[in-house]
Amino acid sequence: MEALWLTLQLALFSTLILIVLATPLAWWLAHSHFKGKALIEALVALPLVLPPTVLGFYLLIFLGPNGPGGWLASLWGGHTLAFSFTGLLIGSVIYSLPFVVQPLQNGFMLIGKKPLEVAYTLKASFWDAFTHVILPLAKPAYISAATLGFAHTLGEFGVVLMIGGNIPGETQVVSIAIYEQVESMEYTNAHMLSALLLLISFSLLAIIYKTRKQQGGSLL
Amino acid sequence: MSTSTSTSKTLKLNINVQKQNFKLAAQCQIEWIKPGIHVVFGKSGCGKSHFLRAIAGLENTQGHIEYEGNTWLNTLQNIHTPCHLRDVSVVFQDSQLFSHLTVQGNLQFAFKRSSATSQDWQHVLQALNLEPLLMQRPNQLSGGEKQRVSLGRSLLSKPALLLMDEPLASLDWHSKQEIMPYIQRISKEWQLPILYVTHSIDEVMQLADQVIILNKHNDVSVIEKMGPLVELLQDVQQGFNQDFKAGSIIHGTLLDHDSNGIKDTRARENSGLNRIQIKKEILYTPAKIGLSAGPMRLCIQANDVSLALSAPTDSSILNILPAQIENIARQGSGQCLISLSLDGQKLLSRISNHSVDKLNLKVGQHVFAQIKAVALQQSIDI
Repeated sequence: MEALWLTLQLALFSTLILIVLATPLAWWLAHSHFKGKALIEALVALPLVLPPTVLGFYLLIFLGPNGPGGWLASLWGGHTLAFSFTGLLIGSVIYSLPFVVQPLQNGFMLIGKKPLEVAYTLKASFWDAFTHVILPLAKPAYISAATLGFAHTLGEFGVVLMIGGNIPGETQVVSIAIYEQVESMEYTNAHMLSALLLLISFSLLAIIYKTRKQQGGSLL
Repeated sequence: MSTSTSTSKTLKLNINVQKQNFKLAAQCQIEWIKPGIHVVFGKSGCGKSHFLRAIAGLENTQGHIEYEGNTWLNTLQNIHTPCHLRDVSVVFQDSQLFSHLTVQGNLQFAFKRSSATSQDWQHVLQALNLEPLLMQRPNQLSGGEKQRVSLGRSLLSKPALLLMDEPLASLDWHSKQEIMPYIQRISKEWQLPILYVTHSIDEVMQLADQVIILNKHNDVSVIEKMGPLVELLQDVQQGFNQDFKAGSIIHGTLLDHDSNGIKDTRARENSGLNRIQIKKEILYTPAKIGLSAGPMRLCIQANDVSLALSAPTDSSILNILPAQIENIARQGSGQCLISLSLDGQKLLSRISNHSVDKLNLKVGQHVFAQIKAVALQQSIDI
């Protein structure tokens, strides 16, 4: 149960961070005519195709004692961000980035710039227009993005194994716990956890497809 | 009702808009001596919308724009007043209501951000008959209703200048007839200068006080001509505008038509005829909603006017008016455009060369002009 609680915490925090980070990024990708935009888009989409072990390996170097993560950890007396909840959070954010950016980008593109222009002509500033017109119009996209980001983080395994290890209460998430139960032939526990994860993931996807139907957009 | 006195308002501009495959260079001074509708007119693709968007601040523009002494743009001095700080509002072609809000929500969006009072709110709801629509969602409205809401929303934004970008272009004939009287009334009732973009000659004829004609020269959109409609009518009908339908505008006074309420459009249209006085003569036109007794403008297509040497007594045509021939211009394809004087007002008639020869028509001759009542487009004169 500790693993489940940790997994939910990880998914929740990752999703919140991702929504905040992905909003400006997706907006920019949706409306910019910058020439190098395709490169940024490719970079964002990379976690979709890269084996989790590759991503995990680079993250391990990056977060470890000799990388920027180690330096960051030294600020509060640690020596590495790997094998910690913070490290796991950073890894999840990168790993699930495309699952949040792409629905938002599609949503913003679908809405277009016209509603923003109309709001300007009614004396609304950019922030006013963004919060009172674009955000409400993009609500289905946000539901899609948040649910996908959350569900994808729940199912994370390879990256976690590489950078988090298997420390109960600190980095042991459900997917890892299941792996361990199976390894030690504890099939009853493995059954229970697997069924739980299956149920949660299915419910989340059901939500996405429900909102997707209302929005008429695509999943990714 | 606005309390501002009707002093003249001036929009000065000298602008350049450059985009891929498009260039606009316009320099002009547009003046509203009294509140009225100035129409920017030109063919599709001649840059009318860019012109309007540049004034609104929605287009990347070089140059200088000044309205009522406020500088909105001066690229030399690095002044770029953003759209939301310019005192303009825009009615777009496709109404562009916010789909996440009800009609009331849309109106309140403008109301909350402007200096409009609750009196203005009541006035707009009443004038545009929006009360019954308040709780509806934009996707439940007809095209005409959407445009009425959009118009109301712009008015509640209390702009100093209202821009309208082909507001009738995506409406069917019925909706157009429904909205037109509202547009005509707005300018006067709210003391509001309006700049109105259209490619429809009918709309020019019915709405315009002044006309600004945009055209392309060597791939650059420029202002070709501007001036009062009466002066430019000639340009619109002859010369470069031959592909447009020729027509004329006759001023008169609408008599005894009781206009109470605007509901039940179709029933009223079937109900009968308006009587419009032109000096000594009376013209009959189909009764139309939203019109009250007073000065009236009639737009008469040249094709709907035929000529007779004597007043026919057994014709189905209601309107038979004495007129004098001022000019006979033979055009291509066996057609003839004849200018007539109708008690001093100019009326155009297009008939075949064959008829001209048969009736032996001459300049100076007195004839009878026959005008089909249903062919008359009438609108309030402001």
